[in-house]
Formats: sequence, structure tokens, C-alpha cells
Amino acid sequence: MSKKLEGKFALVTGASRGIGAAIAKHLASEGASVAITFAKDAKSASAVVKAIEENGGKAIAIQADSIDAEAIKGAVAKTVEAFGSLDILVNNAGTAIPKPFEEATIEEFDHVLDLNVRAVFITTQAALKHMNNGGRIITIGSCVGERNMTPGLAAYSATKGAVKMFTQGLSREVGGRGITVNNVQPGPIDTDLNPASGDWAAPQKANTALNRYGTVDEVAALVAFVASPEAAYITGANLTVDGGTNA
Amino acid sequence: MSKKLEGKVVTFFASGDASFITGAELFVDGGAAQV
Repeated sequence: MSKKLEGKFALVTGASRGIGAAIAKHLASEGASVAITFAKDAKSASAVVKAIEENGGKAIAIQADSIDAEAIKGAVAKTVEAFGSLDILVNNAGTAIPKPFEEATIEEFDHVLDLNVRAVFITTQAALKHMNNGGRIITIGSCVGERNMTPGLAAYSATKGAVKMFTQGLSREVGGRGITVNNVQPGPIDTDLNPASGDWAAPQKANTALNRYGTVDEVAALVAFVASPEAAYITGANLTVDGGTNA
Repeated sequence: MSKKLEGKVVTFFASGDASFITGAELFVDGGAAQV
């Protein structure tokens, strides 16, 4: 049986660990050739590439901090140079700096905005120049982009609300090429940045309908579905994978 | 939209891959309801 993403070429930003790494591995397991970017952790990025290759897939790692516009544009160019084409972009790179809003610095605002919003714009614009008809733009937003029950995430949730509307707006511009644009909104997912056993975990877990954290593989499965031909009529959508947090 | 495509979307939500998705709405409408 042929794999859903056989012959497709993907770029996943910020994929040396956590959700991004799981997405890269899942897309590769479905047959896509995958380029991943990483900011600093070359060792972890290499481990992701190695895991994909050991599973019979094709992957490359590119160092590019998404804060750096030229670096991320270069990563798109290197992906196309390596694969010859681009079908799937996953804007995964992002960050949160949880703290009371009144205590946050302007530098912290800039960092969160630059990585979670500006980088999405720049990467997407660069990718669209090369993207094949029928391509996929998938951004990893957050369930707090729609509803926020967690103090300390005011600025972060604003950036995720921004990519929600970006998704909806851009879908109107590229739909004529058969390109879909979707926003996958995870809830509490067990990662190094938001461990299920951390200080912040109890209220986040309590806010879910399933009374548990999700796994990176559960997010990756939704991303792989949205990237597949089976989701060709889903666009401009905000898809929560949050255990019912926003229900 | 074809019934076949609709069925594949439903199949995804019925699968183990959608185990952390609940209480959610999913529009399969080509973007009609989203903008």
C-alpha cells in the first residue's frame, strides 16, 4: 500500500525536539522527504535525521534560527535545492515566556512576537514562492489562541490568536492553487518546555476534558492528516488537539 | 466535496490518531465558514 505522503517534500521549522521532531518523523513515516530546521541543538537535530533514515526515510537538518529572517529564507532555499520542490511547510518553531504580563520586558515581547508571528510570515512567504499546487501550509498555534484560562500567557496567547487569523486570511489568497492553509492548535502537550509533571501541569490537566496531557505523537498525527490528500477540502481551519480544553 | 473525501475525514476522527481531539468542531468546507 502506498504511503499518504509518498513523493512529497516537507519543511518543518524548529524540529530538533518535542512537537516538531514528532511531526518530522511522522511525515517521514508517511513517505515525505523532510527538511528540519534547528536554532542551536545540532546534536538533537542529527538524532531526528538519523531516526528518520533508520526508518527508511529521507531527511536533512538545516541550522536556521527562525528569529533571523535571512537564515529562515535560506533554509527554505536549501530545502528546495536539496529536494527540488516543496509541498508541505510546517511552521512549528515558537516559544512562550510564561510570566505575569506586568513583569514582562519589551525584549521578551519582541522575542515572542518575532518567533511566533514574524517568523511565520517570513517562512510562509518564502515557501510559497516554491510551493507546488496542492501544497500545505500548516502552522502550530495553540488552543490559547482561542480561549485562555492560564494566567501568565497573555502575550503568548495574543501571538497564537494572530496566527489563527493569518491562517484564515491566507487561505483565501492561495486556495486557487489548491494550497490549503491550516492552524493546528495543541493544548497541554508533554514536552521539555511544558512537562506533564511540571509546576504548571495540574491546572492545565484539570482544564482538559480527558484529564490528561497529550503526547507529541497525537499532535503529529493530526498534522500528518492535514498534510495528506485526504484533507484537501480543509482550509482556513483552526483544528484543536487539546483533549477538550476549549470544549 | 466528495462523499469519499468526507468519509476519510470521519475515519481519521474515528481512529486512534485522534485520541486527544474531543469537544472540537472541524469544518470540511473549503474554508467557507472560516473567514
